[in-house]
Amino acid sequence: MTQITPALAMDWLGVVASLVSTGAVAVSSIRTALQSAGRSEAEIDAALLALGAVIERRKADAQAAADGR
Amino acid sequence: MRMRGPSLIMVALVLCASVACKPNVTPRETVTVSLQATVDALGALQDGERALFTAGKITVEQHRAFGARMVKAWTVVDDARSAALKWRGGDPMPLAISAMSTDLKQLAVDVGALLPVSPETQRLIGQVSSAVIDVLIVIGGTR
Repeated sequence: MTQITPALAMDWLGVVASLVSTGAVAVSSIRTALQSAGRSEAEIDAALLALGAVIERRKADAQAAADGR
Repeated sequence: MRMRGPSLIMVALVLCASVACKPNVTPRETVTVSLQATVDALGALQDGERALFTAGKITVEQHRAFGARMVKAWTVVDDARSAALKWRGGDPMPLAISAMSTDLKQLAVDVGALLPVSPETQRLIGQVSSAVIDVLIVIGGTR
């Protein structure tokens, strides 16, 4: 178990701040997407395919972490 | 620190109302937007953990456990994406999308347990995570 020092606690507040901004990122993304709402089925397909590439890269990063890298 | 969780939910409700007012937005498009937001949120969470690990603030064991949990989360999100890709109008919402919603809720719990923090920061992480997930659920209309 990691010893919780004041410095580490402050770092975690930074993480919390990051999570708050995560929410902001999510809402920003939603707002941006809504501005172009009414996309065709082909456009939705393209968006989902593009997401697949992002997910694949992120999953590879997570796997690297799981491997201790 | 000023909490933005409640305001995030309010924004989500406004945005959701905006969607409801747009007759040309299909459930599939709404779910796609939700998936994009989910990928953004999980990516930011992963970046934050990576920064802490690089700075030597968390142990290798914690980093590995977090990574393994995120692999599962990304797999579930990708399953939902694949289901959305095959989803066509008139069909019921794919179960994989509901499963993603459930897993994201559990992810917030798991991250809090995997990365030990002070009670205060754990509470904040829980609140913020819940707010983010609520945004996604409201927008995605998965309940």
